[in-house]
Amino acid sequence: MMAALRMEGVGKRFRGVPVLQGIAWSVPVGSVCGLIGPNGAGKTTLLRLLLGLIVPDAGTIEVLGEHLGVENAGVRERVHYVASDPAAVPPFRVGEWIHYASLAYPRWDAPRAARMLDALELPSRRLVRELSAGQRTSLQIAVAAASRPDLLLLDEPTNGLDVLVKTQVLQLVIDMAAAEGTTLVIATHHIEDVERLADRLAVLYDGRLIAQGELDALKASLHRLQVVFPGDWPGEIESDPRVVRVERQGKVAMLTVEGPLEPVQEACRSRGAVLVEPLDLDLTDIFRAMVEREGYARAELRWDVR
Amino acid sequence: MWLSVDPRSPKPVYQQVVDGIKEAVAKGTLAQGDRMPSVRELAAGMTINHNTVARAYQELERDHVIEVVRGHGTFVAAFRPHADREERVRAVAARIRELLIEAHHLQMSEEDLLALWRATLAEWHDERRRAQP
Amino acid sequence: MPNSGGTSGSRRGTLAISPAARYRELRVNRTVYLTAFLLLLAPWALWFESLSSILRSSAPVLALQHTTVAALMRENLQGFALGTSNPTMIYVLGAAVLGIALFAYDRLAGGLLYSLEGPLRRREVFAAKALFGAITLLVPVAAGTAGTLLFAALSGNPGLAGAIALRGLFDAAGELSLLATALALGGAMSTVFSVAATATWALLPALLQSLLMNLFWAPGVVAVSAGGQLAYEQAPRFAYPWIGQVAMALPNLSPFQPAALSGWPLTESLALLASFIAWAALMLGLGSGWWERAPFERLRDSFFFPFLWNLYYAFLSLLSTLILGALITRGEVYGAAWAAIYLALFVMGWFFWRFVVIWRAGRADRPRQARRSHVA
Repeated sequence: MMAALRMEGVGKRFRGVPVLQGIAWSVPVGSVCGLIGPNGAGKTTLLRLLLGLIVPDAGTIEVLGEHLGVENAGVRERVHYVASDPAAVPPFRVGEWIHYASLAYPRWDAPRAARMLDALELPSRRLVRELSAGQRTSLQIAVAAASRPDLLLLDEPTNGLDVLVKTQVLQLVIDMAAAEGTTLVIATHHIEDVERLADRLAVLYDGRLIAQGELDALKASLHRLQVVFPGDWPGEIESDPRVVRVERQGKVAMLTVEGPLEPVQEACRSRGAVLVEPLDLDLTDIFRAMVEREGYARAELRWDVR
Repeated sequence: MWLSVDPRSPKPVYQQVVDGIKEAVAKGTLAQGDRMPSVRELAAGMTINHNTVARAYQELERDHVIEVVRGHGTFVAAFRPHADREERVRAVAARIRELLIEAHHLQMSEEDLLALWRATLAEWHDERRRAQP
Repeated sequence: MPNSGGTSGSRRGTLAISPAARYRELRVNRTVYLTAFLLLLAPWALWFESLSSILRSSAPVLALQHTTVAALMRENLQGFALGTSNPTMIYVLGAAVLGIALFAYDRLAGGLLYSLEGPLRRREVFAAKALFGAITLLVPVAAGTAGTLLFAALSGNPGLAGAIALRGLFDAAGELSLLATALALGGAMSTVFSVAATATWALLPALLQSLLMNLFWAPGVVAVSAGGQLAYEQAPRFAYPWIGQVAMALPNLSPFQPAALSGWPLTESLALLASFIAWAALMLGLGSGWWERAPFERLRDSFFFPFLWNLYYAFLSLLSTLILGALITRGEVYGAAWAAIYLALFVMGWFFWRFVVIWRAGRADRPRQARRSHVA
């Protein structure tokens, strides 16, 4: 399958401070990739590199089969970027912005734009910066959809949106991907948004891509087990290489297990566990396990670190 | 949406969709010949990944639960005997064994297990009845 | 189905500006263009008013002053041609302010960086500003010059047509030259610094003159060396293209003029005119070039290229050198001694200001600064 994007050995520093290091990443065409990581991990920088806005200090970037050079405005006709940054708002009115986009994007789909505008019920004369966050994001995505990109990059699209608008926005985005096979990269620190939508995952932490691949495969590789040992705690459990993380509270422990679950369940039972029960594991836990595997031992990972 | 998935469950999402649709057909919520939502409609309606839905549909099609009629859409299929029926029946037997093992570990007696079976069957019949208009 | 919106970049010529770039430029900065246009028309309106009042002069007033309408008009028009009776400086300043405003207002209104995140090419953003800025400057000059020619014809002074037309050309070329300089500077640094840079550039000739005076003059000397005198007189001339200052005398077009106008030979004036145009072209080319190459992550910084900080230190050093130098020498030192003192002050000042700027930047919370710059 052709890759919608491919990065090899990409690194970037800002004023001597390394922001991204050794990024090797590829996303197949037509997939929805969730790029997760805490704020400040470098997600926006990574997306800007894909746009060709920023030039990497090291490594190569290929987007939609094209190697990125220095002047990349052509790539941006097929790669659309949507950011919810309130500072980056065009000084247009709604109608003017649509007109501008129709001029800027060669594949502009005017009937589609008209349909979506109708559905959003936005007055044409309203200034974009006077729209609410939800309206603005919906409008941005409508513009993105009408420009028919091959690759759509969403940077924290659900920030500042209430639940209803969030669902609406995500549905719009899924529809784009389903109807046209647009490749999607959704960068967010709201992991729960990605859980449902993505079929691939890329985990960015501290400027490095610590995991990437098919979401189902990543989820299948990690499990959580709740065990109760009535007697002494068997210390060898913690040194078992399949057990990535152990949280104990008295006689009850939660094990994070890498690989198939049954052997570890058996091992626990054979050591006298009275309760061995698989628990739900959400992406946040998976993320934490991955990060700890990298050697970052932190009691609590804060997602809203700025 | 009558079908819902929990992305946190250890069961893969596409499997949840497959099982959910199979259950609906078994209960009668979906009848033979009923029109299924398109991949795109289902994905948007459930806000889940369309590739996941596509994969679920592929498997359902393979299992003759649904069928694609060119130019018309996707429909709940009429029952057709499976080519690998014997093998599948053996798989059901294996799952019954698993139940027996689990029940043993829970220290349930065979009577308890049978009682549980009967109770669950009764519930199932209730749900089926309610699902019919 | 998709219909064709803009055109793909590979099919566009180097000088073409896409409809998207044109639309964006006019929509976002229309206030600037409109305001500039009206402000540039205003002096012409006043000028026409004063000319038409001459035309309407009553006979008794004329008799009192022993003059005719034609003669009075000729006096005014000659002054115009020489650049002494029309507010050339205003136009020139207006061109510089327009050039700065085209970047400043764009940034202020927001959305310049946002637009760059789309398929807009940097070169076209710059080219659109240059194009519409030039139109905004040239239309009033053209209209004003045409009107003045009309007045010349109506008042019986057709002979001045050549001089008036040339004045118009000088004004246009000078304004373009300064617009180009201001745009080029705006494409390399933030607004505050581009204002300072443009202002410095405009004052450079006067500065140059006074520096040369100190270099070549000596107290008690009746006549300075011939070379010194030449340098003193000619230096501002070479500086004129750099600032587009055209308050200069104009050539003698004697076939039509009863009285010769003082001024330069025609060839020299035309050479000067050409140098203005050449300078404008150079600035536009360079400005577009470095605007295109400025790294995106630096577009919110003071300077888009780290090297420019050196020029900033030089500027600060220049200021401090002038102040300290005046205090030290008290106007009593000239020639080589003067040069030595000022040079030493300048070099020391450069290092001093460099140290101060870097030290103050270092005092800012470094981790927060670094993170902010890459999160944005």
